[in-house]
Formats: sequence, C-alpha cells, structure tokens
Amino acid sequence: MSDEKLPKEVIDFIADHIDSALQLEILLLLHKHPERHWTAGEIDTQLRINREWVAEQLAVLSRQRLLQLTQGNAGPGYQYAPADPALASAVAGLAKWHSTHRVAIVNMIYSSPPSTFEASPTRFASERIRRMAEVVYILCFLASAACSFLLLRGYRQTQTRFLLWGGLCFVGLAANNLLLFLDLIVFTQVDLSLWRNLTALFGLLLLLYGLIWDAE
Amino acid sequence: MNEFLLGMIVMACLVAGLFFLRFWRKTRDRLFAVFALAFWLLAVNWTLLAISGQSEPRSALYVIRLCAFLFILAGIADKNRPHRASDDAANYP
Repeated sequence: MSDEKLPKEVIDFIADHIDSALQLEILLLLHKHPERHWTAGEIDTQLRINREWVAEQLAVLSRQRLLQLTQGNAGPGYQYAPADPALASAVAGLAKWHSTHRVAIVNMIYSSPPSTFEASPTRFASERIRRMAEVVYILCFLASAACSFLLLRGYRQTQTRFLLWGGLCFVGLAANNLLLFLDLIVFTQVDLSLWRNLTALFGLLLLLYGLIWDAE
Repeated sequence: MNEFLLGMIVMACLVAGLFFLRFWRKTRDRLFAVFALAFWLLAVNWTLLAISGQSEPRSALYVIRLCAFLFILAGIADKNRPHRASDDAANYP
C-alpha cells in the first residue's frame, strides 16, 4: 500500500497534526467513543502508555482543536470534539483508513517530517518534560532520603526526640518519592498512587504522633 | 480514596507546620521556622496535585516538593555549622 492511495485529506492531516503512532492511537480511541469523557489515567489503562506522556499528548491534541477539555466524575479530562467539519471529516477518514491500512499510515507518520502544527518543538518539549520529570522525581527521593538520614543521625547523636519523629516521617516521604518514580517512570502499567499516598500519610501521622505525644 | 488520602496528607502537613511554628516561637531556633515553611510547601504541593487531576502534566508541581526538601536540608546544614554546634539540643521541645 503506497502513500499515494491514501486520500490527500488524510495525508495532509497526518502531516499537520500527528507526530507519533501512539498519539494517533489516543486520537482514534477518543474518536471511537465521541460521547465519552476520558482522563489521562483511563487512556493509560486502555493503551498502556505512560500517564504523564498521555496527558501531554491530550493537551497537544486539545490545542489542535481536536479535543475539548471536560469535567467528568473522575476529574477533568478530554472528549473528542473537532472544532470544524473539515477536521471531523479528516479524522473520520483517517480512522477508516487506519483500520485497513495501519502499516502504511504508521510508516507515513515516521517517514514524514514532524507535523507542522507544533512541529518538532512539541516532540522535543514532550521528551524534555519526561526527562525533567525523571530528574525531579529522583531528586525528590534523594533529598527526602538525605533529610531522613541526617535527622536520624542527629537523633543518635543527641537523643532529641523531635529528630527521631522527623527522621521517621522522612522515611515515609522518601518511600513515597521512590514509589512516585517507580509508578510514573518505571512501572507505568500499574497504578501505585494508593500506596504512594499511604506511605506519605503514614510518615506524616508518625510525625504528628511524635509532635503531640512525645516532643512536648 | 486517593482524594480522601490527599486531603488527610494536606491537613497533616498544615498541622505539622503549625507545631513547628509554635516551637519556633518558643525557642527562636531557625530550624523550626524552616520545618514549618517546608511542611506548608508540601501542603501546597499536595493540594495542587489533588486539584489538578490527572489530565494535566504535573511533573512541574513536584519542583515545589523538591524545594521543600532542599529547604530542610539547608536548614539542617545551617544548624550543623561549626559555630552553632554548641547551640541548643536542649532547646528542642
């Protein structure tokens, strides 16, 4: 299947709006269920892609006037809502061709220059944001682990109770930050948010217990 | 469930910050003021995470959290500076 057989409308749409096969998958998923409100987490569950990256792509597609920001029961998300009939028709055409000529379309996405809408800055920005996120999560973990180490060492040296409870609290916060990194960067298919929140809360409750009962 | 936990976390941070503020007023030890501010920063971080939902890229919000941790590390380093070493373990509540 050569590119020439695809309608010009579809070829132009891909060139102007689509940067990657996964971005296309997100758009087609929302197009398939136009009445449904999607959060990044729900799309992540459906397509098994990194949640942060999905959120980025949703924002990009929304700026391209293909999606609309909506408020659902699970929080803010997006719904398929092309701003004009030309866009709607191009996406409908793309969906139809994608079902039968998937390989040709994917080849076209990767062989054409980056889309003109937000062009390569989007792709690079999205990659940059992902890298920045990794660095920030790792630094959060290292900093909280360092706080915990220093506070507990201070407790060993001075036997000051406040340092013990502070140190234990930061053990919880360090665990929270480690899970954050694992959840959002390493094991993107599983949702560890409950465990993340529980470890942070446990650490903070230990601190409050110490401050109320022991440090006074 | 997560929203509920986030609410508890924010409240715990705010209350811990208030305790540290009280300790600071009592002892005038800068480390307590640093802890108070850091825990309120953590409260801001978790509040923003709770209200932003999952549909926006949120990694930038974690910079606030990182600032809070770095703030505390700086406070501990300040506390451990040699000329203050004799300062007040006894002043801790």
